[in-house]
Amino acid sequence: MLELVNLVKKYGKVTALDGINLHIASESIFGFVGPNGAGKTTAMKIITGLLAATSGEVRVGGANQVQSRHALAEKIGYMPDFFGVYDDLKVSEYMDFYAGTYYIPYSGRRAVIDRLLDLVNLTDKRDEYVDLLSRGMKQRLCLARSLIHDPEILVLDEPASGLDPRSRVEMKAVLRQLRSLGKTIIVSSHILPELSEMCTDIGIISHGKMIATGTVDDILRNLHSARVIQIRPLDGVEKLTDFLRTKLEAGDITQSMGGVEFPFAGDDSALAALVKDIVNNDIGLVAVSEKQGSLEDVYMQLTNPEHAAETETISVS
Amino acid sequence: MKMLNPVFRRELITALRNRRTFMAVGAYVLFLLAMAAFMLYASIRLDFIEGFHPQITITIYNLLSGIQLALIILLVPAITAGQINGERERQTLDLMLVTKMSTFTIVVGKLLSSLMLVLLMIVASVPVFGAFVYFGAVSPAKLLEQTLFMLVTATMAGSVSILCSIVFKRAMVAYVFSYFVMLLLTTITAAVVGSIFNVLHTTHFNNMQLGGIFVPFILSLQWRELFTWLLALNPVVGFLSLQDAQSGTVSLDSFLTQFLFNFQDVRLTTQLPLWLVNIWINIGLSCVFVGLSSWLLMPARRLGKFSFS
Ligand SMILES: Nc1ncnc2c1ncn2[C@@H]1O[C@H](COP(=O)(O)OP(=O)(O)OP(=O)(O)O)[C@@H](O)[C@H]1O
Ligand SMILES: [Mg+2]
Repeated sequence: MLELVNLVKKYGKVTALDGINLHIASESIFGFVGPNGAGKTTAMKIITGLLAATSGEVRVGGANQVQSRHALAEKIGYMPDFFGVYDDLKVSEYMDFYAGTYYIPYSGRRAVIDRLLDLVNLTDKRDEYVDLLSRGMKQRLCLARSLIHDPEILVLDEPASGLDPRSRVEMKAVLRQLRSLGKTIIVSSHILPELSEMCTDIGIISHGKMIATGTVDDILRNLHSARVIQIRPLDGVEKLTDFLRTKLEAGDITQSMGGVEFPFAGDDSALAALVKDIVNNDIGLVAVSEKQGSLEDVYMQLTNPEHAAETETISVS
Repeated sequence: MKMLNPVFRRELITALRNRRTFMAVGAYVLFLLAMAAFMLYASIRLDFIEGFHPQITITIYNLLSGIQLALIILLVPAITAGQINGERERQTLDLMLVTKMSTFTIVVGKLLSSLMLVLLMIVASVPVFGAFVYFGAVSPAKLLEQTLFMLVTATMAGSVSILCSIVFKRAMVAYVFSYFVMLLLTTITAAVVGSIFNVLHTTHFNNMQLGGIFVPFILSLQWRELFTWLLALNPVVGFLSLQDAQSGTVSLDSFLTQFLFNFQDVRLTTQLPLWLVNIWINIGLSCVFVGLSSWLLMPARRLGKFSFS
């Protein structure tokens, strides 16, 4: 559906994208994650045709590959990381303007606009001036705008930044709904857990390089070293610790808040076997969990500048 | 289905909602009327002439037209040179560039939007100037010619300003450069040609030694043709030539005839009056500037680097 082939973008001496290869399947939600300045916005601008790549290719449309700017505009909806609103237009006029820029017939506009405003929950703001909307509302309006011509591919640059928790949840729900309508969605964020909840696939980008791509689960599973397991026994933390010392490297095991915590290098079945062993040794377990936030640890570890250079690209498919 | 240019349509909606649009146009028409009344009153009162004389209305008509031209040349860059930079600042330019609109559509929409006020002013002033038709100062056909001349001049000034707004990312620089181009066209061309005429005039008539070298050179046909073309670039010269053709009061053509044309019967190869040449030149310039603007505005111009294979 959408393919980036060896994409390079240089701004003078700055290399913003350093040979990106990526395949984004139809009807998936792909999340671009990376720290500030990683190249997310640059990649998205190249995909939308706003920026010329220094070298490499963007292939849009699979078998019916896009041949012209006009065709590209029809296929792609773009929501940049800023609002872009006119202060002297009302919400419905704003939408009407963008409907015009895609040459949607006058007669069909009202229905399209009403449907989209409903989708993003702005129906009651129809006649409000755009610049009087709150930040979150503007963001939702911009999402509605990017959908005005019913594009197949949505490119959303940090759609959830600056939203309150409820709006975030709603935004995610809208994106899932859009996916179920058959859209391919590319979102960026620098918050990995946020994306992991809604994306089907994720690409971690740092310093213009893709350092990991795949499904969220796959990425985590393949980063064994980063997985931290917490176990809370019914009683006798000492007994559990002693037992674990026979199985794992002693130095890694730490006790915290009535439980035990240790990095675990094995996969899920190895973890299951370990839990079974513990239970068989008459240690009652209350909870076994993966440490919250370990996703962030992975991310921190991957996007660490010193680390990034020596990390091989991890590709999971 | 044919649709109104989306950019123009948007600006039209906001302009028509804005009371200032109508106030500006109304104030302008009132201003023209007041000027006309004052001049008519003053001329009668000061006893330049006895009673009513059509000649005075011709002069007033010419003066008011001059004011209108000056207004166009001063106002159009002020409105237009910030257009594209304004979209850049509001961060709406990228949003337009990813749509199905071509950059040509965007440029034309912006040009129409910024000319809208001036066009309204020109159109609204037609009844005022029409009164002079009634007084016999000018014929309806000549009024039409003048209105056309104003529209074309405004379009040329607008397209220069749009181009500046695209080329210069900083709004201030765009304004300054737009005005500089207008200054170049209206004043500097005339100054250059004027001073050459001056040299020609003095050397020829005083028969100075310099004249022996200079005059034959200046008087050579190609050079005089070139100077005339340079003058034809100038909207003010075009305007004077138009008035000259209309009323014979401003004797530009006789001036030019004396110093340029009839000297050895040289005329522009086109055989057209200067104002008409000026209109054609301005139409040509507008097309070039709009075309160049559209090309420069296109993002990721090297589409080969994009996909499409
Ligand atoms: N117009 C530009 N001129 C020069 N350098 C640029 C330009 N735009 C981006 N860069 C550089 O390219 C790199 C990537 O920037 P980009 O905006 O793509 O990052 P990002 O991943 O979107 O970051 P953020 O999370 O802050 O939005 C940065 O080093 C940035 O300084
Ligand atoms: Mg960014």
